[in-house]
Amino acid sequence: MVPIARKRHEPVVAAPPAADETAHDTRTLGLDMLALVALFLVIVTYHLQNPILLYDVQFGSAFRNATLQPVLAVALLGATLLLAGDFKTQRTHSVRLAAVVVLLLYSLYMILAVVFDFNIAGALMGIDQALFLERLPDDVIRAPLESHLTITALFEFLAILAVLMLWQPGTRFAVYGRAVRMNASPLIVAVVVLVLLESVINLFQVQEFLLPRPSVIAATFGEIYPRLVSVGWNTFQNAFWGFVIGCGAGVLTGMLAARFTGFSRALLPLAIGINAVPIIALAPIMNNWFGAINPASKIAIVAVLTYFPAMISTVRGLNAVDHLSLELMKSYAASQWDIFWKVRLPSALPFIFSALKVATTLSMIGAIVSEYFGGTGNGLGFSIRNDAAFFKNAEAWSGIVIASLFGIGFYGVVSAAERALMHWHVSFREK
Amino acid sequence: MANVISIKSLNKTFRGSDGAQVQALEDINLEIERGEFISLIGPSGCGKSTLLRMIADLIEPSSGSLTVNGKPAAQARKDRDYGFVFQSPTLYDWRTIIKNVELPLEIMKYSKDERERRASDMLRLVELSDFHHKYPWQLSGGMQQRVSIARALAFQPNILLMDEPFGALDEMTRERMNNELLRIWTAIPDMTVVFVTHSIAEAVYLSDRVVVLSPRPGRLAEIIDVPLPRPRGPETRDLDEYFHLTSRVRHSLRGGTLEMQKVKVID
Repeated sequence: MVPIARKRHEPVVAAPPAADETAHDTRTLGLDMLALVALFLVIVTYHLQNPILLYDVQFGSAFRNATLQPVLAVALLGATLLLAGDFKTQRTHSVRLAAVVVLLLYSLYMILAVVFDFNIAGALMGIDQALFLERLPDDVIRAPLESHLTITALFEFLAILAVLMLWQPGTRFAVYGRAVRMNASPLIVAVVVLVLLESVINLFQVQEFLLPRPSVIAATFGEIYPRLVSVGWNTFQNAFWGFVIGCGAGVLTGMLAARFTGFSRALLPLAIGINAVPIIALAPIMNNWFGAINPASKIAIVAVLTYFPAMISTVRGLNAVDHLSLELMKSYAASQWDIFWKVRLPSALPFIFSALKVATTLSMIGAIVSEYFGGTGNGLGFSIRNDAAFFKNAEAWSGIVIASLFGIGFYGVVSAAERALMHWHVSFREK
Repeated sequence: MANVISIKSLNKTFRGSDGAQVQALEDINLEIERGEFISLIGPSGCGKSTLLRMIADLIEPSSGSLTVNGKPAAQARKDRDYGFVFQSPTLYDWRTIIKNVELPLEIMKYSKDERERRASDMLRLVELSDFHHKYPWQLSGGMQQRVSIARALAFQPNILLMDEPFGALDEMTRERMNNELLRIWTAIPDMTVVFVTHSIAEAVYLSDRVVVLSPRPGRLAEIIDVPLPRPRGPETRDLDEYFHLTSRVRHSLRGGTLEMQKVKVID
């Protein structure tokens, strides 16, 4: 009797804590992504705040684009705040609190230096602020700027340490193990495809101007990426604003259409009809309306392109509410406003976000292709078209690579927003 | 004693998908007293859920009169006189458990402190105090239904309308939930419960009176008093009187026609 009883008893006592740890480990790669982005931004902004790095170092010059710089500095502050996250738990832990403070100071320093053109470290060292703003003339004495670089490098290392402190990658091997298990097959497929491509092109001696080998594209990309990041950013801005206008209008009119069914019945056929037009055919006309050089002509294309999916998904989502949920609200004699905010909108979010995610890629397509029809010449579409026209195929392919990197980044940001707003949704629950 | 719910010659006809009129309920007369526990039982499609939904003013009767707390049903709904528990818990996935219970209180514009106080009181009543910040999908079906009961009671209505609330639960859980419900009903003085079920055992175990509806069109077949002693517990199910009453309800249900028609009426 006794041994049996003990046998039965033991696992009950011993097993649950261990099982709990693995079963309830709901951590995902979110923190790791955030930490990597923060590290990247710490290093990039370090390059932005000193003209030696900004103009003489290839990596720094990639982010020289005047409209890109402030975005990176503000993004660093955003990443810092997200890492600081639950401030209550940080406060109980003095090392983590110190890390948060260091990161905050570093981001504020960067915002002052990059956005407001005021370099505090430079001012303390008695360096003329004007030196930080322009490419250094050849005759200037570089020594003070170089010692400024050394001193701020210390600050940068502290900030990197702070990110590592808040990240603690050493404690997250379980997460990585799971992530690798889940994503191993697509990674393997990607590597195999690249290797196959490389060897097939070698084997059949395909001319380089027809299809460059992946390794050649990678090498070219490594050389010209500073230019590509800058033109890619110019194009991305068109995509972004078109996305904001198109999806914003789509979601708003979708809400109206769902609220007033008569309105939706009148509007939907028209919207479907307009959507059937290959939107890109409108590009030359948009150029006439807004002027080819005006970014509005590109933004308009993207806005028209992204409007329809956002609108139709919003209508569908708002009407896809569970019948009982609505009866419940009726039993409370809830106002239309309450029903909209507390039931319809939350249950429409999955629909709206899937439309927004589709719209991110649509917007990059629209912004790039619209540049094929003329423009200022500082965009990615223009760059790809030109490179291809002069048979600089490796360059053109590098442009395509950067286009997809921007697209993936945009998609990633929208997905992160979705995850933050819809953490409750069935698709994000841990299996 | 004043009647909480008063139903006089109530009729309901639905228009079927082929345009034909379908009589769901015919000439229902029912008086429900304050503090009573009443069960509505009948075969599928007899209109028992329809009757409950008309009391809740979720649908309108075709003719006849229906007053709740002495007012027309629509006014009672607007005054939030009743709480409704659906067949499925109907919790909102994007709200934590406590936020789900607070939902009606938010709509009724209670202050934040008051909302939190009442919601945690209610969660204590249904013995789910440890689950405030969990999400609905992290709870079992029985727990979810308890949350929906807590939500229905959060604003202290004096009528609780329940539409086959335990229909989806297994037999063991259902019996436990029945005891929970009786405990809650006893804890709140003068609360009237109208309970729709298709389980004879459940109806007899819980109720003061069992209202038996005949198959479509639903008519009142019989109203059976259940004089079983209270408080009731597992031992109640062993009483001779309990067996006697369940078989009486069963016979009464057979009194109509034996065939169970499949119909498209909401049930």
